[in-house]
Amino acid sequence: VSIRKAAAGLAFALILIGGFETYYLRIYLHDRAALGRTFEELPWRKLPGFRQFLLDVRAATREGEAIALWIEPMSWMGGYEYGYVRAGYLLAGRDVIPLLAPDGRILSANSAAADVIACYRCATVPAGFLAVRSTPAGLVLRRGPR
Amino acid sequence: MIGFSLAAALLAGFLVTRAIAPALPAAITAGASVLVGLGLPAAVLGALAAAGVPWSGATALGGLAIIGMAAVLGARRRRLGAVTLPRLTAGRTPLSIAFDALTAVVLSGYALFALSGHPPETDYVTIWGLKGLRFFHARGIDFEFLSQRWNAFSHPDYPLLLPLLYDWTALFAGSWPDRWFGALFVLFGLGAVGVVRGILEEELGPASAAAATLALTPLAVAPYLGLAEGPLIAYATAGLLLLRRGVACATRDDLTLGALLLGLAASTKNEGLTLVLAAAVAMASTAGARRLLYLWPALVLPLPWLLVRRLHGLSTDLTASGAFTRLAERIADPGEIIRAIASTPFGKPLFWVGLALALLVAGPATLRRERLVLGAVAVQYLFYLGAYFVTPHDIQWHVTWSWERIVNQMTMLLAFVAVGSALRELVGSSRNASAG
Repeated sequence: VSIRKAAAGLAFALILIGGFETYYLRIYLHDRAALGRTFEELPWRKLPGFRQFLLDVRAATREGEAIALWIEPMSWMGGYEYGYVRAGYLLAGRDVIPLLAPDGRILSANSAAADVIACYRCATVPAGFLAVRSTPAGLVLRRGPR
Repeated sequence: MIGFSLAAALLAGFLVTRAIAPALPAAITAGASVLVGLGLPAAVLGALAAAGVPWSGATALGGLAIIGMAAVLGARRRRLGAVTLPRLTAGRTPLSIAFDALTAVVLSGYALFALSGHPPETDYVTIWGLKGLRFFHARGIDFEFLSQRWNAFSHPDYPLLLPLLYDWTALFAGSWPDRWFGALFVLFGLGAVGVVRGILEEELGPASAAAATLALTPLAVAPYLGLAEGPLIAYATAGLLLLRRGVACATRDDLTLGALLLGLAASTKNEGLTLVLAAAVAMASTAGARRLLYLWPALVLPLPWLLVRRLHGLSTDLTASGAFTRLAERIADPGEIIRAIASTPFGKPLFWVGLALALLVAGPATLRRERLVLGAVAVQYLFYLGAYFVTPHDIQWHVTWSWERIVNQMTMLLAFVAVGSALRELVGSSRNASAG
């Protein structure tokens, strides 16, 4: 066996073994139902209860409504961005509008355009809105009669 | 109904593939048909949206039927006879069957993973799935959503093949079937493996081809469920390898089909757009500028989206104002980029050592033969690096969250060259191995 052939054999073995994904064999023994539950929670895990909260908001609102998102504490990097960019998926069909800008400004004009405020982790009701649903993770606030 | 929607798309994909390249071996035809078929829904739904026709199962199916009939007429014009399915089992040996069985076990394992539940990736929820879901509710492409400045996080400039493919399945399911979207990623993997397997078998014989396919399969099935990485890997790999085959065998059909698949890559991610440029540069420098004419499908396919996104002002974040200033500053001092890349993992070390060793053993003759693929990959990596030189984001953050993922986009092509040359050296097979 020439050195070239031996090196070629070694290279092939390294690629085969090094690139192999043993997970695709181990998965035959996994609890796939548990894995499915993990998949479902994974994108939402940093805001506990947020996924269920959005499902509750969805159930309390109609297609086409504008939903402003309030997340306590109101800090862009402290959770607001995380929640805002995800909310649209579970609230599809509604327009999700932010109440906080990346630079920390409160966007009060957006709350004026909202039919509903989805208020995660908060207990107070702003003027002009009525709490229409209370969930363990927050409140769903609907604009009252003007 | 999801099965029906996919079966219809794959059938149309087969008709188009056969009309373009009727003389391909069975495995390549099967793989390319799957990939073309998964790309057609975007063309149909995009055309319906452009024509102002609301999406429904009936309008979608009607659009697909028109493409299918055009393909049948095209095939008749080329005087192709009745479809005869070649025997996939021809020339098999016990060793090749054993390797293929192991490949099937790996692919089935991936299918179990992919079908375990909803796509778990954040970028699915915030980009790919979100846009698909918005469009599904709007029964068309929701430009109001894409143009809204608050939605910039969803990267409105990204090509729409994948969100529209999600919509395709949803239109027929009547609801949003995200629990089953994993099946799409299995199909993309199968398509890429089919093309690679067929080309390897022509060059190496059945046993070596089966062994090589086993080594390459984990690279074809991207773990990023819900994102466009898997589709991009499949289209990029199949497209470039068919261009390589077209140059080697001097067949126009392969070049056209390869260019079509590259066009679908460009309709999948912005990196697919740069890959078309990379392939054109590699093609011009290795096979002659005249052959660039055959790349026309790769330019025509993504063109409508490029025009529409310009019309709606959907610009990419990389070109945000000050790009030239950032580029100049970072060229003068690339230290931050180098440090960020050096501190970020990019895959499995053993694999990369094997890949480097295989290319070292391959020698200049093999590298010359593979210069189309290697050249395109090299230019594409330059584009990847270029993105870090102009990014408006924090460099360490951008590199950390993208480097390993984008490196993997080209890994299967590199591994194809490496594994092929190693096995050629090892077993001495050189059947039809005169690519480039």
